[in-house]
Amino acid sequence: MRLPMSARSAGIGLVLIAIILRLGNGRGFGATEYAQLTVDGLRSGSIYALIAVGFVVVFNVTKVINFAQGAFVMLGAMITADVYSRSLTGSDLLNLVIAASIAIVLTTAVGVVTDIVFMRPIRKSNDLVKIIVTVGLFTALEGLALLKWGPNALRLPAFNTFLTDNPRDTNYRPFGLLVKGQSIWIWLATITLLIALSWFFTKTMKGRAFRASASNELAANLMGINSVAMATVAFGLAAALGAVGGILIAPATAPIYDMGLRLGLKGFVSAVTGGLRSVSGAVAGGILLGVIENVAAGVTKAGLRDIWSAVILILVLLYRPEGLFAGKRETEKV
Amino acid sequence: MENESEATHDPTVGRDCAPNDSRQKGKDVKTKNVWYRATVTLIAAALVASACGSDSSGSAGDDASSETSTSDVTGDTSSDDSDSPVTDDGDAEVGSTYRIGIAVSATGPASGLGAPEQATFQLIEEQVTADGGVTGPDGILHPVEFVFLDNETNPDAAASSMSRLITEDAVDIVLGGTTSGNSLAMLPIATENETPFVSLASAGSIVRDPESGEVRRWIFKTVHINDNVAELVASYVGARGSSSVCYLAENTGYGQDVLNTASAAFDAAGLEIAFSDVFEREETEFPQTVSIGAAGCDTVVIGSLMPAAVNANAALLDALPDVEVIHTSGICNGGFLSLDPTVVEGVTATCPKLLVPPDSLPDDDPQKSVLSSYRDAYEQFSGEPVNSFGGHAWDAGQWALLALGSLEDGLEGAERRAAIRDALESEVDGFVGTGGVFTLSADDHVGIVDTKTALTTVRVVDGAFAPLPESDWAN
Amino acid sequence: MSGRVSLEASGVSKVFGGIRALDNVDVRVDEGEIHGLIGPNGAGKTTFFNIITGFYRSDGGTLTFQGEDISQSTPAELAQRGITRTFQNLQLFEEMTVAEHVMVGYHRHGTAGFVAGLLGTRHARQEHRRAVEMVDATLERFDLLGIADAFATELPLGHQRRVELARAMALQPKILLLDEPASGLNAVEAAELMELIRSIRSGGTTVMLVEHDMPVMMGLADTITVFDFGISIARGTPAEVREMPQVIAAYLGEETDD
Repeated sequence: MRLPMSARSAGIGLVLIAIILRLGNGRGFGATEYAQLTVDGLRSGSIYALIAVGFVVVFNVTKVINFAQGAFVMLGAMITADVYSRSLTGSDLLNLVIAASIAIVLTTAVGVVTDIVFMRPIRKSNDLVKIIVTVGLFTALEGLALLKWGPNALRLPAFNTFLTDNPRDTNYRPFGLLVKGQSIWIWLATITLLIALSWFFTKTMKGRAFRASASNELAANLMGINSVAMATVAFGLAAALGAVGGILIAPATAPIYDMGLRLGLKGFVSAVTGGLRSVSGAVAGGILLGVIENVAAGVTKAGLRDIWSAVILILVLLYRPEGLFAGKRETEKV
Repeated sequence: MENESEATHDPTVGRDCAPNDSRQKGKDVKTKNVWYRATVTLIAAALVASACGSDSSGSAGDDASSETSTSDVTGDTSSDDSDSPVTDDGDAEVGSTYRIGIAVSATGPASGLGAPEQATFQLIEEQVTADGGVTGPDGILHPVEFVFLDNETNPDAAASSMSRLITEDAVDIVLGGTTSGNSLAMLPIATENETPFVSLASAGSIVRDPESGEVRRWIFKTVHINDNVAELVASYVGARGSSSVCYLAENTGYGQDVLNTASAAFDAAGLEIAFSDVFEREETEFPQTVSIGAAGCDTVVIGSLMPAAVNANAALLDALPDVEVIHTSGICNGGFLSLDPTVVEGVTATCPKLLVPPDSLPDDDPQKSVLSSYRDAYEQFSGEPVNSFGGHAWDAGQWALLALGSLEDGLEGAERRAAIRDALESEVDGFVGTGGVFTLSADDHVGIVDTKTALTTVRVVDGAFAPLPESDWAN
Repeated sequence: MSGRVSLEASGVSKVFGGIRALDNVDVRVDEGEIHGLIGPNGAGKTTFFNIITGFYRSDGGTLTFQGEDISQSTPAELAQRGITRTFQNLQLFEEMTVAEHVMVGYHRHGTAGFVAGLLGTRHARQEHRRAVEMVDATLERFDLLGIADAFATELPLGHQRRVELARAMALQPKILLLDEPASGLNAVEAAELMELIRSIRSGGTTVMLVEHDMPVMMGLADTITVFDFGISIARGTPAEVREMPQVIAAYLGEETDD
């Protein structure tokens, strides 16, 4: 991927790195500590990436920033934890597979219904109305989750616990680093999903039709592509991606009805960092945000963590509103 | 209805619309997640504004309020007679009705605390109603009416519930608050309207103004202050021979307060805090563990509520399996044990005595009988296992009844409220409660003279809280 | 020529904010012909195109395609029936290659559903293979094989027009509506275009054409309908139309200044 950073952006980046090294030095951090912070950042970054792709997919087809995306993440995590806790079969692993499948299917259905019932009728309204409706949908889904599951957190064990007898021994320690077992699951699932998505978009007929609709609705219509149906597909796809993100991150936190806001907005910042229209940009944005945030939080106060995504958002909007990773062609157009 | 008095300093007007966009915030610290709150709240506010715009008649008391219906029966039948003596009950001479306002977090993120508080107040209401009320020193029986509002774990809603209880329901005393953030939002209104308020939250700043250092005249609380926790933690760590700890606090009002008080108390005990930091409730990564590793701590104190306390505990265990973890009293309920039993096994916490079975307490413990009888009454009434939050509500309710029972007949309005306030300071004297042995005075509005009447160290053994007597600390 | 009616509009009107852009126009296109639509600027030709292809709804009159009413159909439905068009200002897909454009055009012949596409079922894969063969044939026909993997929006205008045409033909339409296909092309490119359009017609596709370039129009069209101020004023072969006094008047009225 090309990173034609302007001199100014590069300058800002260098200054940030210098500050981070200076602060970390004060705590006696060496290479191991920075590597550890990066490894941990890579895993939340992967989750942000999945959520961000959901934003991009919907935005490309409908031109709507779907703030309900965070609710899809929450639903994925909550439904999985709920179904898992019911122990439908004798095997924990099988229970997880069943729970995750139900969660993905149900959340996707929620995404599809969301589009058909709420977004379709306001298809011709202006974008602000649509965005406000998605915020309303987010609040409604969160409220429903509170009704269903109450205010207390649920729990989903780390996936590695299904492969070992000792539930507290699920991690790996290469080169003095701690790599949590769940991180491996997160990375493998994210990579698999992104490859499958890329294959779908570039190699299949329906995937091309989807991209065509995202690129030029008018012309796509003339090719017999129903852009209204494509919007529904986009919402379903975004919901499925969000649900997978939620399921993967659930063991790292205690899933709770209001977990969607924070993750949803991290995904949004990642998508904007990547230019809001590009899937690969969103992935890069998510990973970058996850790493920067975790390293910065590691050397400063972690209570400031959420400020870093705000800083990134503002810098991107000020200096590179087309996204950090916009290729040469876009840059020339601007 | 727009009179000019200070009572119309009225957050209620905004309140009827506020809860719509506030549920997702649900935390009691303003600095949290400021940036995206701003973004989304702006949009949400637009949504709410448009929804409210259609019926902005401006009158405060509309029906969309969050007043719960628990006590509607009593509320409806006697809502207009607060100053006309009821004489239909022939036995004793009956005086005017006393009104106790309750505003706990029945919903929202802190409803895990608020629900048992609410149930306990309902239990007390049932008992008092069965008695017909409280009898004063002059032998006159006064019916007691309970008015329940839900503060939704939201400082705005909490402030307006206080406001409504005072101005519309004309209560004589308010009990509740649940979280420190809510209590801090409610207390200026109580002070302004000279109404006694007994909080159920932990922060010391609730009863003592941190700026001036003065005791807040109208505000009391039944919960041990976090200084008590810090004191106990410091003695425990000292007994184990450590001279430094690391401290992780949840980024909420509670977490900030336990951290701040610990800084002072540990310093006094000669215990160094080698590293401290806060973390978010929904955190998925804990970069703090890297700094804790670099600082070389072998003991980490986690000052947090559920469920964040378990998240932080799990992350610590993953990164640094050998450190000893100590929790503060924020986790002292069953959810801590059940969320992830593999994480919390073996950890130590400082908890109210209610958390351990009464049988395990020594027989000479003065609180043994009250702990045991409240436990039985609560579990029978609510069908849920007992927890310390309900215990704090029990103590608050008993304080209120003690004070009301000391009043002479004939007091009304501001005069009555002032008498109740004075009575709290004089009547709660060696009161044996679930959360401590209390002696209130003008200088002390918590009244726990001996920390060890409020808290005990416990350890999680086989998925349950087991008492950890001082003699076992070094093991 | 079969002589059967392909597209028929009768009494079609369109009002924009009180102005009658089309007033009761009648147009009949027979199957297999190249039908031209001419008229001075603002005569309503593009509006008419937009009504036929479902982007506007007519305010009156009837519109049929092969005898069936199409006045309420959406562009996507019309495309499924075999009606498509090109635009005067090109409408290509950004970040998609020439080959992908053609493949999207072929889209309506796919039957594999979304889930099948996502899962890569055998049916979906077979379909994909057939599509690739068809795409190669179309690219060859429109002389685009050499630039099949280039991003379409980065090509010179003449190529872009060919891509748009190829994409439209991949749909295998029954009728193709071309809006000013020769605009911006030089004489050589225009001649190539005329050849392509003739070959499209001889492949069995009816063509309807709006074009300002009179030599192109007169050289291609079998029949011409003339619009003026939203009214259809004449119909006939190019030779007939050229001689009609009302047509001369309409054009003289516009072009005396030249």
